[in-house]
Amino acid sequence: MKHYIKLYAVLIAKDFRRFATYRTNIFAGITSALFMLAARYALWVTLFATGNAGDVTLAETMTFFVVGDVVMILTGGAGFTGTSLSEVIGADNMSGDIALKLSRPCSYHFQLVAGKHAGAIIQTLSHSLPIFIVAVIFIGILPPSGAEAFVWFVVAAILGGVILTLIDLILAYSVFWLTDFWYIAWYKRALFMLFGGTFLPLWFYPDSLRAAADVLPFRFAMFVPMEVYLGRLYGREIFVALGSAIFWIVVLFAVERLIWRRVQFKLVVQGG
Amino acid sequence: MHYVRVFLQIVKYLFKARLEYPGAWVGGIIAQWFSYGIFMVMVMLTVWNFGTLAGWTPEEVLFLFAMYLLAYALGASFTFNLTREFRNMAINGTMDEAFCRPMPPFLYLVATTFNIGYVSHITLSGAAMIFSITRLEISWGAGQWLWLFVTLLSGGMITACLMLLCEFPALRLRSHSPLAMFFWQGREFLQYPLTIYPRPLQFIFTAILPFSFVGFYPVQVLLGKQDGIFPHVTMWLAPAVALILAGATALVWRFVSRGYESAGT
Repeated sequence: MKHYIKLYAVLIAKDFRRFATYRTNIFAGITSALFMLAARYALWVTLFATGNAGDVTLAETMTFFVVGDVVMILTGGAGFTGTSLSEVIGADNMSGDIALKLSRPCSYHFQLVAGKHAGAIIQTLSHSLPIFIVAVIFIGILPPSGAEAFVWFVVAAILGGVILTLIDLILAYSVFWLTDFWYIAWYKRALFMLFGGTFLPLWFYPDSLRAAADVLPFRFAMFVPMEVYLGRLYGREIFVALGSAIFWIVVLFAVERLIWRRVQFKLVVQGG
Repeated sequence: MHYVRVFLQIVKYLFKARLEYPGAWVGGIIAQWFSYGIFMVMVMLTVWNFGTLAGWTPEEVLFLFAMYLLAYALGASFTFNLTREFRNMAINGTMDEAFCRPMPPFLYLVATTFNIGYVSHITLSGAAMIFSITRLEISWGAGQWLWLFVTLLSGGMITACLMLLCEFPALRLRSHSPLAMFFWQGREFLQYPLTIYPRPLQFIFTAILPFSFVGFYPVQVLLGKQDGIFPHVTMWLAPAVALILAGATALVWRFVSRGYESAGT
């Protein structure tokens, strides 16, 4: 166990050093993050000015996006602004590096997760943290609805991160059956946008689309943790949501293992 | 005319090469339909929830977005792959090739890096445009249809020129262009009516980074809108802005290509 923790730290430090070498990346990341925040804030201020928001406030909505962004990046690896696992696995498969990585004395998935977490730290520093600080100072972000809510929020966020990673992995395995892979990440982003509430909180969805989103696992990555944070889910509802998240983790893990078993017979190293 | 024929011939071969892997090509197109299609639905749904966005109905916002996406696709078809290559061109010497061909080097580079993948954006945004025009029950005369055609071309040209101007430094620096983010992040602001942004941003996206001439101002003419902080005449300036930017891009290209030194083999 100690050996794995050390290895994990080494892999993260290596990826972090590689990123930090290109300082313009950090500057570009921070600037583009602030651009995105400005565009999003202007959009929502204008929408709320119509007075048709129902029981939702502007502060709740901005908190949803700003804290939700931190959640998705910290728990789900690089999240939506960074690299998807399909791009990592696809590049490994195409270059033949996967053969080398599979023969290392730690599992391929361990290396993937360590890389994803390195991306999470980098993305947090260069993207979500600047947004969070600027939003706290200039926009006003709501604190958690209570200490207990915050604890359950952390639990929901971790479970959501596991679900996000499993979905990312399952979609990424399609690279072994395809000749190109750059577009797999587009499907992932679109699915989370439509069913996960990452573009528009599910509060604003029409009933039919909300019903579809409620029976799928995508909402656990950001929407459910943020509902707990804001106190829109409380008491028994939190346990029902967390129970559903655990159910989805079991289902997605079984699917992931099944496909990975098939992948091992499908794998053909093309390069190297 | 001769160069146009050569250009089309090169693009034909690119198309043939791409079709060697039809599954990968179609997979990419479907992914972009799916992704952009869902984005459009989400934008419509967002505005629909609140009734309007700065006085623009959901169908009007969709029309604006379709205009932006179509103009982007028209411009980026010519420049996206080219600008991706800028930082490597001097390193591996691929630009040497352009200077050895019996046609203008810039035209050769644009032809050989033409991106046929934007057919997905063009078909999707065309469909969205038809849908929004139908829903808005618009009955335009010949003048408005001509204006739509002209401003789509000028929007494509503005997009292509801004992309090139922001990416040209990569050719000299042989690394990422520090200006690139102004193009890639700036265009995000185009997706919604300019009037949702504070006045300083409206000024920037009109006078400094004129992205608003791709969609917002031309669409104002077509939908009969007169919002914004600039005089009404501004909404007619898109073709002129495109020509000015094309001239500026040609000048900068001349400067950049004159100082080109290959480090490649």
